[in-house]
Amino acid sequence: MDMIAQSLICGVLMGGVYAVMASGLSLIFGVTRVTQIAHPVLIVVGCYLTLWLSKSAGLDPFLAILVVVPMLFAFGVAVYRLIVVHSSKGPATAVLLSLFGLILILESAVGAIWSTDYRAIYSIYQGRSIAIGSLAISLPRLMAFGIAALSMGLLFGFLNYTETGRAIRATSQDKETAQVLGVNVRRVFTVVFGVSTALAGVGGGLMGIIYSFYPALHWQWMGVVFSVVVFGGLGSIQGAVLAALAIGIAESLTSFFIGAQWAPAIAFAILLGTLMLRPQGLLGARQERI
Amino acid sequence: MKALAAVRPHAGRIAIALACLLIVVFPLLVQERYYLHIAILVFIYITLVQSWNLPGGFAGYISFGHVLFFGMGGYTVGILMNLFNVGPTWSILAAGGVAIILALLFGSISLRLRGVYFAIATLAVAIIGKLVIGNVEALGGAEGMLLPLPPWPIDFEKIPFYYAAAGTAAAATLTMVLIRRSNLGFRLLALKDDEDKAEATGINTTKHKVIAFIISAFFPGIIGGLHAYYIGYINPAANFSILYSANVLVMAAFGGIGTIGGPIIGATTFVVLSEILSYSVGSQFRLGIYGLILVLVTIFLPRGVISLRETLRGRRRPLREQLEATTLEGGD
Repeated sequence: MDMIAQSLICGVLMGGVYAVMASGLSLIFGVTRVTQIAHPVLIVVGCYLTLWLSKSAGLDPFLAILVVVPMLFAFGVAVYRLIVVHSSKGPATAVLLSLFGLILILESAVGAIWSTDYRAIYSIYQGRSIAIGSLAISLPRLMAFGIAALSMGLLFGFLNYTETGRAIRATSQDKETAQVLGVNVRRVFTVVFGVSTALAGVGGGLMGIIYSFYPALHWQWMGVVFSVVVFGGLGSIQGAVLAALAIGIAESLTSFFIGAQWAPAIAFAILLGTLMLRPQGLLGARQERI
Repeated sequence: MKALAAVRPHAGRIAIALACLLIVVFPLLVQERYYLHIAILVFIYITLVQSWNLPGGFAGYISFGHVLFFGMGGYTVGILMNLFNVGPTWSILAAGGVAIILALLFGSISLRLRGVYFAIATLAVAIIGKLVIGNVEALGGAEGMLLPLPPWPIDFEKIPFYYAAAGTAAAATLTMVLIRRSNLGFRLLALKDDEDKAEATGINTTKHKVIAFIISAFFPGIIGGLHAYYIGYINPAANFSILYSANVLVMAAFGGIGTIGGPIIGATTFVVLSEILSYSVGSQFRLGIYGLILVLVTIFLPRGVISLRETLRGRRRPLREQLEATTLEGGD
């Protein structure tokens, strides 16, 4: 019983991190209708930047994430301006293909800079845990969950209580009307790419603190983030949070009952199941056929 | 100019005939085994890219998961030859059969999805396939398994594989040429342009997509089986490597998606380039250079290298535009 409770808690804590990893993808899709397939590799970039800052500058990894945020914001803006804007002028498949190219570039660049070996971020919290009754909760995971919750709170605040957030929500509801009412859609898209990529950076930093990583790990994370986003309902951030918690728990229970080697498959299975049975996801609006 | 244009179709045919002749006599001219190996790789990739191009280029359904059929083809051959003592030819044909069954099962479900969701579903299935195979102990788990050696003498080694791969690549190419001229080809083009309208005109889009998907799975199954027997060793990480899917996408986009010549140009260029890059800059940059080329090509040359020829000549328009022109302008 304790083991089950333990793995449930572990699942919820992971789910929080998954929410941060995936929310940017959902935001980009909801506002710009671009499916950012390079999002997972940007999470990997976040891992390595956090590692680099914490190692070379001696920063606490959680503080290093704070520095990663503006770096990846700028990177997201560049991705939008340099790749998405230009390739979206071409045939329908061009955006998908050019972002696939970006995946290959970043995976190769990360491997060339930091090698393709497994890496881990060491922090002073490593291996510590808090005991509650008979349960032991890993301190890094708990802190990662806290940062994840804080980031999601900030994202909600930004979208709901700022002028730019209002413009983003307006654009996601109706691009043309928003444009008529004076919203600078191009600027909104740029900000959305920046914010979403920064969120990928936070997600990457948190994952890097919890697990070891290697450059090609993003293929596996693609399953996680896409199942979160599709299961939650495309473009719905609340849905993504719910789905992230559900998938975190599902993975954790899978590795407890069936075996850890099957945990990566569960996200893909949920993704496929959702696509087949309820393509609009948990909270997504029924829209055009996908 | 008129006279030249009249000559050109013949020139094209002569060029194709010469290329075929060169392919047939190549093993006699080249003693170096390494070059035969490169040629086999080129044929493998031509087969994969031509097949990918059928749903990807003609119908607009981009698959990230074609490596599934390639990998399953390899494993079918491994299982049949090792566990059931089946001969190589039948094993490789069975690999094609397995790919067809998988494509039928998976295609009839996933082809209801459109655009990027189809692409992600294919990726998901390929990754699940790799996980499942890697966790079956009877198949060697992550270690994989060795295949029996070919019965022919070692000096002869690569030549049968060379002709088998060349034959498969030629069959895949010819199939695409025929499909392109068939009703199936035109209907696929129609549903690429606008699936709802194609459906409204009475085309059974699901049926056509599934047929296209099955054909596009058959050849990767065969070539995956052949490749497994050629290399003599299979394991989940290598035979289900996402790199196959990535390479195929890059080759198709570079050569020209939805064309017949594009896959040939793309596969040949990238296999040779990949060899040169492994020597000169090291293989870790290869992927990044591929990615860079993919980004640049999709932005600056969205219809691939093959469209350069048309742009330069400025006369021959692609089939799709010809079709549009005939419907819009009311024929010639």
